[in-house]
Amino acid sequence: MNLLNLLATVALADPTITMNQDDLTAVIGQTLTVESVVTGPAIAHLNVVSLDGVYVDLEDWSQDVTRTVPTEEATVDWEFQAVNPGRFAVYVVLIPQNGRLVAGPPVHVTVSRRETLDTGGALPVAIAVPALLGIATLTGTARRLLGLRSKV
Amino acid sequence: MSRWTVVAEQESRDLWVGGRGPALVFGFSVLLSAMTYLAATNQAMNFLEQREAVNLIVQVGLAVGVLLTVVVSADAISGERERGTFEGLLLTPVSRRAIVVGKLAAASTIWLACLVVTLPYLWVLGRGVAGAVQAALLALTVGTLVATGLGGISLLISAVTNSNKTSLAWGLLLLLVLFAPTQLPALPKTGVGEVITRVNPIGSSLHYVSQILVSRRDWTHDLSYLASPIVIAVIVTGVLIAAGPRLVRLTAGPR
Amino acid sequence: MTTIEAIGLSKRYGARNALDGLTFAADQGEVIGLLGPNGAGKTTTIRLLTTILEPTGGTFTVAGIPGDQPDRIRQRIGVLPESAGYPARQTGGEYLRYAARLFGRSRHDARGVADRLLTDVGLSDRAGARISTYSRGMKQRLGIARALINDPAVVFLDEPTLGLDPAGQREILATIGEIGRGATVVLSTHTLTEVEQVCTSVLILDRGRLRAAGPIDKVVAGAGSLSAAFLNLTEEARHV
Repeated sequence: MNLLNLLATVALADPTITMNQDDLTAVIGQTLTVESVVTGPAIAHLNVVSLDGVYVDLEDWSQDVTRTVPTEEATVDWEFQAVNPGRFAVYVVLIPQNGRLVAGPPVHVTVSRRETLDTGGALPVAIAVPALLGIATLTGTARRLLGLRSKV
Repeated sequence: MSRWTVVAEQESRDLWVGGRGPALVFGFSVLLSAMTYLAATNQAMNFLEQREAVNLIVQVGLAVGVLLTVVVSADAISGERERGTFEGLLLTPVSRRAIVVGKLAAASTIWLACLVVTLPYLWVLGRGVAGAVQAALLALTVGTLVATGLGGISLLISAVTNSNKTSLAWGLLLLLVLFAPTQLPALPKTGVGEVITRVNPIGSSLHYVSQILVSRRDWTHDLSYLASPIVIAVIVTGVLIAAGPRLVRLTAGPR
Repeated sequence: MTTIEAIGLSKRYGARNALDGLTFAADQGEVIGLLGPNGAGKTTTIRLLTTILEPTGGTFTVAGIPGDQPDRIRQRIGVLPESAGYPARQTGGEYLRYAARLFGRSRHDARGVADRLLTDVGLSDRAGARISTYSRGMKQRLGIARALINDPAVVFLDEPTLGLDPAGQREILATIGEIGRGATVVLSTHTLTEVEQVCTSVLILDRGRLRAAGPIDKVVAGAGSLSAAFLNLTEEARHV
């Protein structure tokens, strides 16, 4: 193989991608990061698909789904938030300037439901704080007015 | 006791004993109660992780606390001009610098009160995730920086206007302009988008807070995002102290 | 002893001369009437001498302190500004105590001097009432008390009887007479009879220029009355 052929092979080589995780578990609302090792040149795009048939709005999961991948090998982190419960596949597709799309292996993410917040504790605080401040404000105003009236 | 503390003490007294401060803080607490209750009970919002709920309260507390500081600062000089009480203050031997510093210190008390009121809400939403103490410290440090910077700008506006309505309108417009980009759904995280976030003291502060509270970053990880609120707070305080004698006059406009 | 000295004092706003080359001197204990029609420069003169405005020309000293040391001058003067505003939510006592503390008095001293002055101006029984409940005459008396909070060497009173009924005017003039026993008083007014009652000398201004200065009898000489002299001097200027 002459030098020209070697250069052509390198330049036209398909981009490659590997993922550093296979499976992840999370509770709803949790922010996760998956790591990929990619070789370009290509555009990398993150995608999420439900394995239970649930509708996935990618924008809700991540606002940063497209990256430019350089020719040399690079590590790219993908951060997303698990906003739906169920089983999902998270994968990255490489789109080269010419040639075929290259899809990376999927990372399976299982998201469990969780009632995250204590509603019982929130209500007393939500009522007590304004009530105390309101009483303090009214008492202060009343005392001032009564005190001043007695001095007029 | 130095004279700026005398000014600060009386201004604070007028604010709190006069009734305006308690009424504003009461309104603030009603808003935080509604946000806390919704964050904790609304099914549509129940995907929120605890840390996100705490972050939401810090962000609302910071934004509204700064808004109230701006409102109080906007009245500090132009309001006195309108009521005709400013000449009496200028006729005392208190330096113009001391007047400005005293008024800024008094206006800052409304921010501190908002911070204190926010604490129980942070506690109830952040129990068990060690987020409440961290959130309170973040609100204290970051919020105080933003409140000082924007409260100071509002005081500067108040010094160069004769009408209270004008200074209030300019102060609120400034806040709106700074707050609007933080509500854009998908501001790019690189290039122009990042610059917009970084130069905006509110945008960069909210980003810094959420990175620590939600993404669990270290305090030093995105520290560069605090450059804008720190620079603005330092410059505005410096301008108020250095230019105080030229700004604090009976009427605004040409001498 | 000279307590006020102005030499060529001027104030310009753009092309307009609010005060043009005012030169005069006043001694300790003197009560000077500052007379002139509307826009004559009376309030501008007071604001220059009290360091609220900066002159565009000339020099002055007040209580022996040069005009370029405004903080020191303000320590030695008392002022009742024209149409002074009062913080409606403060009480009279609070208002005076705050003023005393701004002049460097301790909390204890401030209370003492405020109580004494409220008694002096006949407001001791209303010391704890909000200023918003005061009548105009009471507010003026409170303003005079504030002007005396630092035992000033020079007192400036700008239209102190404006809007008061005859009884109120009489009370204020009596108070001014009392002040004049120790301090120099500059009284700006439209009312010539007030000047005749309490002042020892007079300055007559018209359109920013000094038309006459000196003891009242000297200014009146030949005209028959202060009113006639005032009209002659101000009308004369209009016809020149």
